[in-house]
Amino acid sequence: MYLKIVLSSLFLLFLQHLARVIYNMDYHKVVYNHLPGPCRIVPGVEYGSEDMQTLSNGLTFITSGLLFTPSPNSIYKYHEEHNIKGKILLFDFNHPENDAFELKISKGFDQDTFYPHGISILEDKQSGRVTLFVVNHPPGFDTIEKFQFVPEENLLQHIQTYTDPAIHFANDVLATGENSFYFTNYAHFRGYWSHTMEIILDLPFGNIMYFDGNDYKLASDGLLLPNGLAMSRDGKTVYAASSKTEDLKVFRRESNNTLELVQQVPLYSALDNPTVEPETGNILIGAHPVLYQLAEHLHHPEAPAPSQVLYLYTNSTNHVTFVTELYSDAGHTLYGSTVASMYQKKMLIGTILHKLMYCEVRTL
Amino acid sequence: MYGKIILFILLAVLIQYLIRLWTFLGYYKDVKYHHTPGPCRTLYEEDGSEDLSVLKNGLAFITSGYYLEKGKVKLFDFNDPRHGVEDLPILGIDAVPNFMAHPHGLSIWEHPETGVLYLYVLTHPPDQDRVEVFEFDQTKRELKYIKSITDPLFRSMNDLVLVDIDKFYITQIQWFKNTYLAYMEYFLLVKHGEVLFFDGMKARSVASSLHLPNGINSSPDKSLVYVAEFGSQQITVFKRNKDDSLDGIQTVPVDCGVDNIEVDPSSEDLWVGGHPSPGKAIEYNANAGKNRTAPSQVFRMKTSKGLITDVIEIYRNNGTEISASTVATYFKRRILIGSIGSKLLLCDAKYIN
Repeated sequence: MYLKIVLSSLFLLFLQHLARVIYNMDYHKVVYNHLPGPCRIVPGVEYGSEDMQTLSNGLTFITSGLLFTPSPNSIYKYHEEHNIKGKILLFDFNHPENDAFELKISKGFDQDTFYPHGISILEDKQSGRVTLFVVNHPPGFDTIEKFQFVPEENLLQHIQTYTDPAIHFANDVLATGENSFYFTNYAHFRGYWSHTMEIILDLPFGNIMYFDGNDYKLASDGLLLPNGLAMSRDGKTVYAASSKTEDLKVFRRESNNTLELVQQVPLYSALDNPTVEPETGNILIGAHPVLYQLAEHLHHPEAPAPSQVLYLYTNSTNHVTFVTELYSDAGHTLYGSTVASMYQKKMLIGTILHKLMYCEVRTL
Repeated sequence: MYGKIILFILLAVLIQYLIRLWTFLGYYKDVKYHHTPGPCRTLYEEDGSEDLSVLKNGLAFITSGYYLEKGKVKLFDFNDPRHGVEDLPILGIDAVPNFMAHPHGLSIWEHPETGVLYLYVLTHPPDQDRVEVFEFDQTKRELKYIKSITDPLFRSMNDLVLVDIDKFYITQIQWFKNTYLAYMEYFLLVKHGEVLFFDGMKARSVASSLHLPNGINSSPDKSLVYVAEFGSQQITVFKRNKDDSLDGIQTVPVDCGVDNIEVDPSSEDLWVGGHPSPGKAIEYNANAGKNRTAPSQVFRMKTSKGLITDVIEIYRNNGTEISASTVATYFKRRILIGSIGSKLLLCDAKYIN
């Protein structure tokens, strides 16, 4: 008798979890189409533009050719078939007609194992020095690479590789100084099936770590698939996008660099990377509105996945006040948008493994 | 054993009904982000603007006061937006009982030879729905009452579209006028809405088994009729036959409780106002819009030879800027958005491709 009660309770628990998983797959969701102005695909970018950041002078650095562990076998095959190389592209908002081109990387850096993911750039306004921090996925483990941009040669000079067991399942990085940064650990299990189970079971084993120059410390723990990171203009607030809980978390930076949650903004879409618009402090986020199509796209990049860019207004305390949807595509032109960066009312939209879109933003 | 099978079947029927009801009510679509085509401003705050129509010369006629016992027709000139919205005086109506009660759908007919403009406004007096016919005096900017048209088949009508003088298609959205029976009708998800054709003398049914048909309009050449089904959340395109009967030729799912349709005569685009969450719209309506908000959505649909090819979302709001939008129209880079019971909104269209 008691056994029957226990079994039926477990069955009901399983059933409600299954219902939630199916609901979260968004089979019922409809994505509309609308553009904020004339948009065009930037030619020459075929294998992704996962993360980007724009400098105060309009130069934008974009990572391309993403491959992370764990990936399904179909993705490794896709990479081989199309001979995809990891690279960093440069786009100048002041000369959009020049499209995006690949930056050279200094000799001595192994480009064959370079698979860039998240990017964060430090601009030293006085010296003009531009330092790039890039999450890299060489086979077997994750690293964070530091480069210096040499504008006269369109070259990235490799400076340092950061490795540590704490850089466990890196997704995005957020630079805070020449030798310090935050980064997200997306999840814990690195096998294909264990990773899939971790996602389905909603296990909150992601976190945000901080490297202070000497040690790797935990800044925020128990997160569900924390994805991209961005910093407010005054350096006091860290924005973290979550793919699974579909919200943007707003953290206050404490004096010891740990993060204190002050606001959560539900956005009903699997969020990827946030960027902060320097003129206004407002946030742009690339997102994936329909999860089952994203899952399919992550196995087969030819399968369409809808794209979405959200624009979040912030106030003087870096809290989000109002949200507008700037761009929405049901999977016609752009697949799997991950990030958007705006400069003087022009916007670049990046994707996981698809193309790069350039839009004029007239509706804001 | 048979008892268990019957129970199982009943359970399955119940579950599929609950899922269909959940999809219809659409509370999960009451999402908190917005989307505008440009900056918007309120032209007026109260009494609503359930249906509207704009002429080629930029004059827009708006029905207002759906929740009032005596509503109005208002005028807005797109060429002079700062002038605002004015009430149109109506002459010759003193003896007509329950005049302009709860005005609803509107359609304009321009006489091809004389150029005289006739406005037909659907109203809901307590006894029977009727269509009031007016002539618009362009110089004096006033309406002159001509006659009222009604028919025993007019039960619970919503919108109409003129195809000739005194000839129109009109949507019958539901069967019951009584509140409780109407709610039962909504929640049972029954599809028995109809489109009637009034031939100048009497009305007859030309399309049936529609799920809460709401707005109706036609292509500029009057060969096609567009019907917005609020219940099945789709637009149906009908071909008009020589005998004025209708054949359905295209169905476009929109996943929004679509309300009224306006057709742009030059681009032949459809502009559709709607309620993303029909459940919230029904709640809003039940309270006559008091102390309630309901999300709003506007679409533009491109056409080719009258058939819909693209659906583009133009505007979306959770109800704070405008609640329960019902209609929208486009004129020279501006969009007018109307609602059942509160505002009339004017937006700049910064990008229409």
